[in-house]
Amino acid sequence: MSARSPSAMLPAPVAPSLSSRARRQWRQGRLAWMLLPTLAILAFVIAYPAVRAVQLSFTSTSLINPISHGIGFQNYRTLFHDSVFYSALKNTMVFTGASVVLGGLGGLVLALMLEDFLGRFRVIQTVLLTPWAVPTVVAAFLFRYMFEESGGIVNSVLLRSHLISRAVPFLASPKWSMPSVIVGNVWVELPFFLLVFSAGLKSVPDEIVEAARTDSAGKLSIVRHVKLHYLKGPAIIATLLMVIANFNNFPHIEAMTGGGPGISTTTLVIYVYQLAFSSYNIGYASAVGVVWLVILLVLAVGFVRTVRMETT
Amino acid sequence: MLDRLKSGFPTMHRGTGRSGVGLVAILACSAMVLAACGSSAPSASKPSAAPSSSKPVTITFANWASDESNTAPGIKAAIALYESENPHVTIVSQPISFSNIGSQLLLEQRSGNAPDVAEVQGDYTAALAYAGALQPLSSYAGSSFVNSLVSPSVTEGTYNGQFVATPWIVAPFGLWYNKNILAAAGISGPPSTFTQLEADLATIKAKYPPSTGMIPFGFDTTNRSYGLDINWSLMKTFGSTPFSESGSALNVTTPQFSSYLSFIRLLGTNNYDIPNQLQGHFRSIAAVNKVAFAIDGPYFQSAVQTTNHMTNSQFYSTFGVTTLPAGPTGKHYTVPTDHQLVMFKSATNKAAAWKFMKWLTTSPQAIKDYTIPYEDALPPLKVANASYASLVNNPNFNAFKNVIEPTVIRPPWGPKYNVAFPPIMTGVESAMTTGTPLGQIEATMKSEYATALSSSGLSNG
Repeated sequence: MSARSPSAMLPAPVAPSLSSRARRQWRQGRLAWMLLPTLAILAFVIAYPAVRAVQLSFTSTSLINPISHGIGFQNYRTLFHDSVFYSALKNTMVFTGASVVLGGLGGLVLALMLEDFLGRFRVIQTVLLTPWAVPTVVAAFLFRYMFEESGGIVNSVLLRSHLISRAVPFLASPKWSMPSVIVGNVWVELPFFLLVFSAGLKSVPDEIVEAARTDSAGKLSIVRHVKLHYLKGPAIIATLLMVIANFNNFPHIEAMTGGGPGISTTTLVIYVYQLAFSSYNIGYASAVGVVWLVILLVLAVGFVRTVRMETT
Repeated sequence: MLDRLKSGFPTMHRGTGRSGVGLVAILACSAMVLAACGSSAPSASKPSAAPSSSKPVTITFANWASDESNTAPGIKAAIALYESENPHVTIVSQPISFSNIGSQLLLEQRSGNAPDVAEVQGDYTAALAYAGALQPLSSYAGSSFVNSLVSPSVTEGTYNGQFVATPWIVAPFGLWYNKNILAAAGISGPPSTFTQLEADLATIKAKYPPSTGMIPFGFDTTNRSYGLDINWSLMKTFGSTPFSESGSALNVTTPQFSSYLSFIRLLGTNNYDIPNQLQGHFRSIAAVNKVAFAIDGPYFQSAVQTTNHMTNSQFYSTFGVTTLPAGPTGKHYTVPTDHQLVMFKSATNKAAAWKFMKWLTTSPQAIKDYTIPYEDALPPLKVANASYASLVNNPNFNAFKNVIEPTVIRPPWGPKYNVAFPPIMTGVESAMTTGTPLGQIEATMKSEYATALSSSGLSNG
């Protein structure tokens, strides 16, 4: 008997028939056409407002002036000399950066601490996720009343424990207002990071952790050299989502401080709202909105490229 | 061929399918772009239908009275009463918060779905009038009606020579004070000058340290047009006119305005007031006797009584009201916060809308059942009807009518007011909460106003 080569033992590949190839192509084409309703809705919800905003940014449109004129780049020239715009941009960066960093670090620490909780202690994780379910405006009012100078619980606790001798004007002082707003925002957003990192930790292969333990690696060492590596992808995606969300975070700041005192907590989204609906200046508000959109797009493209590099 | 017929669909190559979808997507986006670039003109006002007493009529009424807990039951009952007396009329009340109603009405007007009638006030009226949204009322009101109204309220509802807003309640700001708090601090009565006020605030703070939660002087310094309304009276008291509708720059680098800012800084430095708080915040605290002085309108009474359920006699024995203190000029000033009713040009049945407006503002029934008990405000009529004359004869109403109302001045409400209030009020808050030199704050106000004015499309001067 002659020996058969390994390749001879495998069934010969069968060329797909013409009809099955055509059926596959037809199915893919039909699936592509099914995207049309979604694309139409996205075009209406995203493309129309964006194009209209760009168009309005080149006009002097105002809610109280029935006549509007095209004014070219006048709004943009004004914007680049607008000190309030730069203050709002700075506040946006501070608010977003601090909220994402503190929320991310807090979520990571909690996820690592709760990772090994078993049995009835897993309910702690559920409890820690509940702030995410609280409506943003409700949480904002909650923290507003907590931080009140007279009667607020934070000052009451600090005064009674003699950590301070007089009440701190958390929301009435430019020095304290932004940190107070950030604290309230981190409370709401930390559960999101906790959820993402908890899910990410489940993807860490047990055998790698066991191997590390076998090599006498300590807990901190395992976290640093093993687990963080697997959490990099989820961290990047969660960070991108939260950066965009916090850039656009209107209800939290509006409910807590309204952008004040002064402009100490006025972010870009608060400034655009005030321009459009308090000063009725739609054209200039649109110009600020377009610049804000460009900033977000640059951030989003940068993050997406980073994610692609990580995955490849 | 047979397969194609059997399938009932055209055969699609992968590339053909995707390029077809892409082409349709591009066409859809292009359609959206063309729609976006198209001008959107507000719809023309609908022709007014000939009034008919039997034909069903629906009147949409946008207001904040039905949005606030202390007035909502009253306005609901008033509307129900009107509908019972006019069975063919249905009033559809649209509750909109006071802070949002100005922008909301402008947006609705530009979108072509403005209400028939709306409750407005101050700068909101000016904005709507400038936008050309309001129906002149003279032909509906007639001279006898207008002559029956108190003169300042008629002036307040007149823009560009046209009577466009009929007064509903008369409500100037006054200086409210808690008699018990003052008595406990050894203060015999309310201050008549700012010098006396500063001394009283220091006395109250010494008597009631911050740990007691007492707010010596509660008034609104928020960054909104209402915040500037309140502070306008204080600015005038110090002899300052920081802004005018015809002006091209803020007039804030004056000794008078600096004196006003110094007073504001004193309030912040000594924690006499809480910055960046809405007026409503102080009303609820005043209801529990934790505010010594407050600047507010006559509706302060109904807000406080809704919170603490005081009777009228208890309220009058606890709270008093007087003019705002006089400053270096020796004169007292206050600003009106009169609630007005306007009719939009797009109203479908103007005659019916006017009939409702007239009833709500001047009928003895509406005044007795709503204006006085729920708004705790003065009706806009020169002569009180016998059916409610006794209701307006109380210490606080008499103070508003006889002492405070004569000090009313109207701020320069108009298109530039909405451009001016952000830099002014952020500067006021900055003076109250920081140690930034006042000169620097004033310079920043001027610079920010110049930037805002240049972007607003409004002409300079």
